[in-house]
Amino acid sequence: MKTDLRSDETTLTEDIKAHPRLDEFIFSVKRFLKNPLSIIGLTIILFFALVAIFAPILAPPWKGDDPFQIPHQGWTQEPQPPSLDNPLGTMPEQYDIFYGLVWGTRNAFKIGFVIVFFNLIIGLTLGTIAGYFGGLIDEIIMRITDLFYALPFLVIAMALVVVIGRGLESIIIVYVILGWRQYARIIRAEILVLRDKDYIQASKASGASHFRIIMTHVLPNSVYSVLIVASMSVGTTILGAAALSFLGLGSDIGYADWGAIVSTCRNYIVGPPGNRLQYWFLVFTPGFVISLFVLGWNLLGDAVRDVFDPKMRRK
Amino acid sequence: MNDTLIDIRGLKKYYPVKGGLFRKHVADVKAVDDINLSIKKGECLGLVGESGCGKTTLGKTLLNIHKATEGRIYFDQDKNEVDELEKMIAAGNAEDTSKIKKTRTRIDMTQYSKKAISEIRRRMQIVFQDPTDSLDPRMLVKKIVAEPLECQKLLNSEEIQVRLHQIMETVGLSKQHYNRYPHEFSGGQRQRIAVARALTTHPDLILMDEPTSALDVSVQSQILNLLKGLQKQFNLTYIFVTHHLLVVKFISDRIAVMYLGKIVEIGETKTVFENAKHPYTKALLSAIPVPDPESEKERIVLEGDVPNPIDPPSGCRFHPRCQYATDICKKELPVMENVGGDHSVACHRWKEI
Amino acid sequence: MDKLIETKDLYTNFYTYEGTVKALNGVSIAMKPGETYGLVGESGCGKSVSVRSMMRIVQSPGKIESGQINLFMSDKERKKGIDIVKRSETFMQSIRGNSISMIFQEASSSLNPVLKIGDQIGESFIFHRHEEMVKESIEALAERTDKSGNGFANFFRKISIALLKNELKSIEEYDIKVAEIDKELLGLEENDDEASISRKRSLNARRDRCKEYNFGIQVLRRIPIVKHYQSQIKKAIRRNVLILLTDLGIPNPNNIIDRYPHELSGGMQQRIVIAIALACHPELLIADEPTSNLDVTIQAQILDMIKDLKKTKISSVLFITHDLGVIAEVCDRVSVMYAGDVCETAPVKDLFKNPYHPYTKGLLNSVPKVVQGEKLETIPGIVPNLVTPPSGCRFHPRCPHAMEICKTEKPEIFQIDDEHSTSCHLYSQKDKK
Repeated sequence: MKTDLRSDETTLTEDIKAHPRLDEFIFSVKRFLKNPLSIIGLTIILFFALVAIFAPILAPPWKGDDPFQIPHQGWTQEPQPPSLDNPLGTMPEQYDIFYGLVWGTRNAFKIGFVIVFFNLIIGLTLGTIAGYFGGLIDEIIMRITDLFYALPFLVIAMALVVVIGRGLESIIIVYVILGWRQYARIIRAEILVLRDKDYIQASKASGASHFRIIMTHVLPNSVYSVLIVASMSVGTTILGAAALSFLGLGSDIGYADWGAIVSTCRNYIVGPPGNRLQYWFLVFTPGFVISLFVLGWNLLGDAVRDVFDPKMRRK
Repeated sequence: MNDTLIDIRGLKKYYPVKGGLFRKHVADVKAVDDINLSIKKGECLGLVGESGCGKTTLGKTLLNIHKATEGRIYFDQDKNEVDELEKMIAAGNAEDTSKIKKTRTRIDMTQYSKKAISEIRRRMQIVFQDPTDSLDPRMLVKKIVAEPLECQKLLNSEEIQVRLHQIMETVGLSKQHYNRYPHEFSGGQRQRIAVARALTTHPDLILMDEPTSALDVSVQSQILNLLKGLQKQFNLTYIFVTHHLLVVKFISDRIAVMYLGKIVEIGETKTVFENAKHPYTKALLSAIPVPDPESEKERIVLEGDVPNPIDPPSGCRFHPRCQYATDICKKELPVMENVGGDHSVACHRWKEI
Repeated sequence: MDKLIETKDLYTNFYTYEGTVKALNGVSIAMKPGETYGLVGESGCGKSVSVRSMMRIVQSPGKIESGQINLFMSDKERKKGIDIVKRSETFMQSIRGNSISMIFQEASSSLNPVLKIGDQIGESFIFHRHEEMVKESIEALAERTDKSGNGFANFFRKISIALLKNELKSIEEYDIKVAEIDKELLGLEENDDEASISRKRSLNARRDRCKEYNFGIQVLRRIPIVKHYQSQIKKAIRRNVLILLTDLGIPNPNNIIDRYPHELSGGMQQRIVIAIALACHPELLIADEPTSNLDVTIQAQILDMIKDLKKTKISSVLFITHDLGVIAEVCDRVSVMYAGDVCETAPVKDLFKNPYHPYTKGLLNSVPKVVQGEKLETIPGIVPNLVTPPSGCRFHPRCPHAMEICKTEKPEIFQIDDEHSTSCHLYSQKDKK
């Protein structure tokens, strides 16, 4: 009986695969690197990462206490254009732009990662529970999510700042509280489709616990769309944080944070009549840096989607 | 020692339909409607019917994937106990209610505790129709096949490996296949993986839900031969759900024909094929396209479409499409009557037709 | 042999990320007018791809590499076919739905869920039989104008008639232009030199640019109140749709016309799809697995319907399926395909009684029959990957009679008799010896 069955199918001629997961990973990486846009995105992010890592060397801190305090020579209001001392110019009250941007990179990464990380945890948990268990739990969680969607962003932000006080931490907290909504929606939608698939039912018939099914079957198959959105979100979160800083809800003047820098330069964006672009260096460099960072993350997110999109993987 | 593995009495599975402004319970989709069925150990029972007849729902309710609305399922229980309990239920005395409840928790699968259900899961497994969907695309084959064992926690990891190896060999897969993903295999091979997964816990019963319908003809024959061989080798009991009559003829010992949630005819395969009594069975048999251009066949073409299980016709469910329908067919539900031996049919007029 | 449509050595490839899928490996099929021709084979054998290539609706990344597709249409030359491989898209559009119609497996995905049934059947009329409809509406209006005496209504009717006649003229002009181009193309059919090829290309391009209506009509059709004259055409179409549905034996046509597809059952949807396919009295109906998803009893209804229609409405049917039982019931001649090759072609009775090709034999043996033994015969192995297909005869890895030559050379077509042919080295070798 056994030999009979075996001769029915031609066996695979390749050798026993020792590391199938590694092979899959390498395959994905190769696909990733074939896309020129993804290489550009990766390069941009790597560049910023290097700047963040080597910040102490690129812009040595003054005095040795909080390195995030931008050094300034004097208290003159008017911003100075780029010079040898200050390669990118100075902000009002003579804060060095170069220093601020370099150390601000660290804060940018911190803001982006921390916010997205917590958003993912909250969003994934709520969305998974809602999608997997359905019924009343689903309704309740989705109404809560709707509630959060309905909350006016700016008002909450300002209220929180009043309670907690200004600073980067406040901005992070605001985004953590309000930013998880999309992840919950996305993962719930994916799970609703997945729930009725045969292999989930087969696991149930094998006696798997809910936790096991969620961790081994549901999440690995549905998490990709979330990851794609998450990787793009890092960039847009920075933009949002900068916007809040610009409105004055972020750190004080002199703190090395991109949003704070733009905020500090608020009054000098447009120059005196006759020479509107006098203070171009205030807008151009910080704006360019922020845009580049966001662009890098967007490209990376696009590339991640191209690689992990299940429809494009194997046809 | 009895030879009945599963005894089903009065099984119903209704899906509530919510309508109206306040989403009240308006009607029921009567997917499975009062089924009485018994399956012997080691036999293959074919469940035949078209879409909407409830055969898949019946199978899944048996395996506790769906929860039964009403009815009793006795899995490998003592016949005398079952008969006693059924008598009590039929009598319907008020004082017996708590006794009935207690006994049911012990022997009726629909009333088992979570613990009891998870114990019994080891003994029942399922093979699905679509080999692509029934295997997790992100899991390695060896993990997929070993999963039931890991959930049951009966063997340690070494023993699991040994069992895994045994089963894979039996099913015709080799070591090269362990460390691969499902999408690297053909449809037939994937179905073998699904069969291997079903065999790992050495179950008593396997529910086959159209296992070959999604496969090519030449692969179908391989898998059917495999399934038949396995049944003999391990003395398995199969419930084979399909709409393909020639396949069910090949593999089943007995077949049950279902229509709109009810069994209309049941008996040994040979008998039902040669001597069908129910008009629906006759029409079904005549509708099969036979791969023989010379065969002259009287084709009974049924009028109308398969009706909706939400609003089944009154009386005999089949009467709107039946050419022999009379008044009594429109009013009264027919009961199962014995034709001879194991062969039963639910039709008012089977004697005359 | 009198032919309706034929392919000669058709090669179609799909350029995918994983590699080039060599879907068709020199497929030659010939269909006679008035017969039901079956294409049978397992998944991946290329039956759907062949037929889509014939209609030139191969989905990208697919491309017809080489070969001929000859169409012999009635009224025109029957002896000399038109090669439609390189013809313009507008030419193909004028054929599709008109002389050749196609129905697919999933009836529910062939129907637009947001349009009513009447509108969907009407689409075919609008596209292909526009002239007829306009003429009909002119006649109907003219009749009404004579009968009733109401001044205002008559006045509007007369305006509508004038506008419709205007449209008719525009359509006739278009027809004349296109007929001229087609005549020249037909004349240049055989020529292969540089000048002819570039002339053909420019003619095809010009055909694509021809517009059905002149500019004036296009403007009129858009002006809010004036464009109401179009509604007459819609009424004519509705009348015709009703007649079609009644002819096909679909119950309650008045009711069905105003329904949406999701309100109908699977069998009824498939019948509507057939109605749409037959709206323009095509010469050839291509059915790509139309009953594979339906229940057995519904399948019986549809097959009976197709058999009836053969007597009245359509003369020729090309039926694709994987079910040998359906072939035995419905078809006159059959081609068996495997992995992009045509293995055997024969009249149905001959194929089942006297198969020659090893694959055909294996296939017939592995189907569960009414009288069946303990075990089913199987064909060992699996369908090959068409990115790296086996060399020579594509069936050789699974063939019990494989010889050395089978691994290297593709077998030629060997005529067993007038109607029965196979491509297998077993027979062409004997012939050579």
